[in-house]
Amino acid sequence: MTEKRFALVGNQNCGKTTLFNLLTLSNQYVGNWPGVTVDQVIGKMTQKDWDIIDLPGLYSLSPYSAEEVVSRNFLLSDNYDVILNVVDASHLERSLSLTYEVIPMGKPMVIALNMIDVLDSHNIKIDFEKLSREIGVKVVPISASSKKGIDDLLKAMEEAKAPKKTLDIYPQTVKEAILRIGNLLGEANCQEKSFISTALLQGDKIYLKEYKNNEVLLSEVSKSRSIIESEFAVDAETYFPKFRYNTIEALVKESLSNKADMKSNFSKRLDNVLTNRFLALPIFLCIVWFVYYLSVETIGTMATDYANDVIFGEIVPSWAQSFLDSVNAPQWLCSLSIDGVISGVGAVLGFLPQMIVMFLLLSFLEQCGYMTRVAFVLDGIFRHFGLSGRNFIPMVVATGCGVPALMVNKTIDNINERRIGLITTTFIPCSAKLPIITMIFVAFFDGKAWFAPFVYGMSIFSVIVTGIILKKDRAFKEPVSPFVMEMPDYHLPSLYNLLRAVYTRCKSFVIKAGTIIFAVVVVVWFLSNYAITKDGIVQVDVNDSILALIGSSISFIFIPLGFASWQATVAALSGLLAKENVVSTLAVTLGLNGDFEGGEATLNQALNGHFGLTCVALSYLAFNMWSTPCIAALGVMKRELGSNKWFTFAVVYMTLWSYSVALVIYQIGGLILGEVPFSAFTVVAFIVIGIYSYFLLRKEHKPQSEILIPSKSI
Amino acid sequence: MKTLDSLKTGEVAKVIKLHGEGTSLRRRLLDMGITPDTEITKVRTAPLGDPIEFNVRGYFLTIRKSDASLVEIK
Repeated sequence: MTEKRFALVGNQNCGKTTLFNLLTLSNQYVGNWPGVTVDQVIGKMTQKDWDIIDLPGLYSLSPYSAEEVVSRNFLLSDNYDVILNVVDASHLERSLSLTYEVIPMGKPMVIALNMIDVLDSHNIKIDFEKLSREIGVKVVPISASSKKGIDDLLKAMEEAKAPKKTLDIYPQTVKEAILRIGNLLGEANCQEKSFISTALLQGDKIYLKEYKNNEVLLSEVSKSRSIIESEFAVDAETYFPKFRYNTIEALVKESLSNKADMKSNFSKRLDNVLTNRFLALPIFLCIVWFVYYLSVETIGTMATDYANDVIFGEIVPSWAQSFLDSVNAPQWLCSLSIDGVISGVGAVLGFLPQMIVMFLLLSFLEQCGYMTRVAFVLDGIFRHFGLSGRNFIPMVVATGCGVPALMVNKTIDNINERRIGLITTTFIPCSAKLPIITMIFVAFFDGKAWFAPFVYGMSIFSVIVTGIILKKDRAFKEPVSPFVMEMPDYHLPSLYNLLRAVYTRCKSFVIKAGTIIFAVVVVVWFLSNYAITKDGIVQVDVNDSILALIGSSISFIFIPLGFASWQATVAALSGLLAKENVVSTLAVTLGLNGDFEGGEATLNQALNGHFGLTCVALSYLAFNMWSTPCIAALGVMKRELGSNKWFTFAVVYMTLWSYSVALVIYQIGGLILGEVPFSAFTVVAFIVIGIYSYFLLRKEHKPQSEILIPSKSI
Repeated sequence: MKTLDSLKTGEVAKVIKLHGEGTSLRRRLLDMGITPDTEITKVRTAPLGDPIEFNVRGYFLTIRKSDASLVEIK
């Protein structure tokens, strides 16, 4: 059991994370609050035997977003001893507003007045003693980024005391009202009583619902509300924030030597360019291209190719081979370790260098403050299909590889946008799907300039249609904080914080996605290499494997799409392992030997012979393009979506979408081209279009107004 | 009634009242410091015409146009 537990509370961008990293060094773990998709990060300070619980960045303790409800439930619990409140000295008024919401809880508390160097650079003096005295809580000036004042802070944390005045911050009338309501709350403890009473006075929906049967209490609440409203001539919901800000305004006026606009001139000038009416979009596109160029086109891919081809393609396999030979291992074990495990795990780890480069660049953009500008600039477009400006970046990354692209979705804080992002990101064709596009293009559409724009246009169309359909649904209306966003100052992130962000993101990828992907890769490897015969389980060609058997037994479901052959089915299934496999498997199953390039004449002939019609080729392409991505990407998708329910939905949705697009292309496209006769399936295709149109045009579901987290959940 | 979304770039206004009682947006705006009598300056509009950036209490805040229309100013 640790000696003391601290709850770290503060606004977003107040330097909370930097302080947390500084205090806990490397001993920390991330968990989830029970039943809620909010991360709980606990760090250990070993030299002191202290725990630090990093609560999400907050502006207030309102009942409207999961982060806020989870945090206030935690603050009202007995799971910690001291509140460590980080206050941004350069945004004193707004930061202290949260402090004044926390003070009435009466818990021992310390205020870390961070970014004190910003005040120095503006020649502003601040009277800490006065602040400490007036607030009634010890205020310690620090600078987390330049590690100043940390010793004083540790000392204050050790000696932390409860605030000198809790409810006394309020005028007599209000204090009495809070006490009156508190007395009717029964079993609640002292800290809960004053917080819950204040919340009830502000019309807090969660507590009003919880006490809906306590008529005595509710009538006292409404009586007290009217007392406050008539005395202060403002509604109770406005009264509390207004009171806090008025108190703070007076306090800040007395403790600051001069009150200047503390946004740096550098930030102002940079914003004049980066969010400029005409320059913003071109600059954004250039930056995205640069990230893409470094991580997908050059450094990242070079490193990933090296890892895939040399490390996991030559060095490790040959080392493993010689080891297995030296111990006289049986043939199947060699195959399992080298073709299965090493190539499977290698395929996953091979993405790592690319992801490191990508996350380094994106963490930089995020920590320096540019991502907030991206959201500001692109919000006007993306919100129409349930996404935000930040979703643009994963989409671009996805043209390289879906795995890091899905990981980038982590940086989107709005849960609805993140979910829609995770489901739509891999509609953008990744580099592994390029061989499929090339194959179909060369064999059927050679020289047709509309082909590539058509494929990419259809991909964007898939994203937009899916986004609009999903965002209208109730399931994608989880309550989130409204789009009221602070524009932080630009600042150069520290290398330590950058590497830390890259490390945590990559670590979770390697551990969690790695284990799922690895297991499935082994299973698929087995299915595509073995067959069950009368001699038992034997190793065979993919043509005769269990996978081929499965393929031929389910190929009938593709009759409406025009390609119901077992070869085409097996090739599509093999794409699950990696999309590159589609072309090679198709070649092998069509009786060509494995070594060829997409453009070879024999493959063209074989494909033309096999598919025959252009609408079949296009339908096959569509199914492979927009169905589920490969296993590696699915593993990440499952982890990021966080639950089996959401993952199943994503897989079913993507499969249905690709099936529908292929159906419409084959049946209706074929009908127009005169390649396919009118049949019952043509009618089905029209009905499918009708269904999608209905979902596209139906009325938007109202956002959920209530959060379904009980106040005692933590 | 004059509202926050009608402000021109560089103009300063004083908040009178927030409409939309009982919504999460109203509470959020109040908590961020947009309380009655606060001075607000419009900084810029996003390139696509929405959202809008304001200066409130020494920091910068972006709000969507439709949301800004809940804030009555003079």
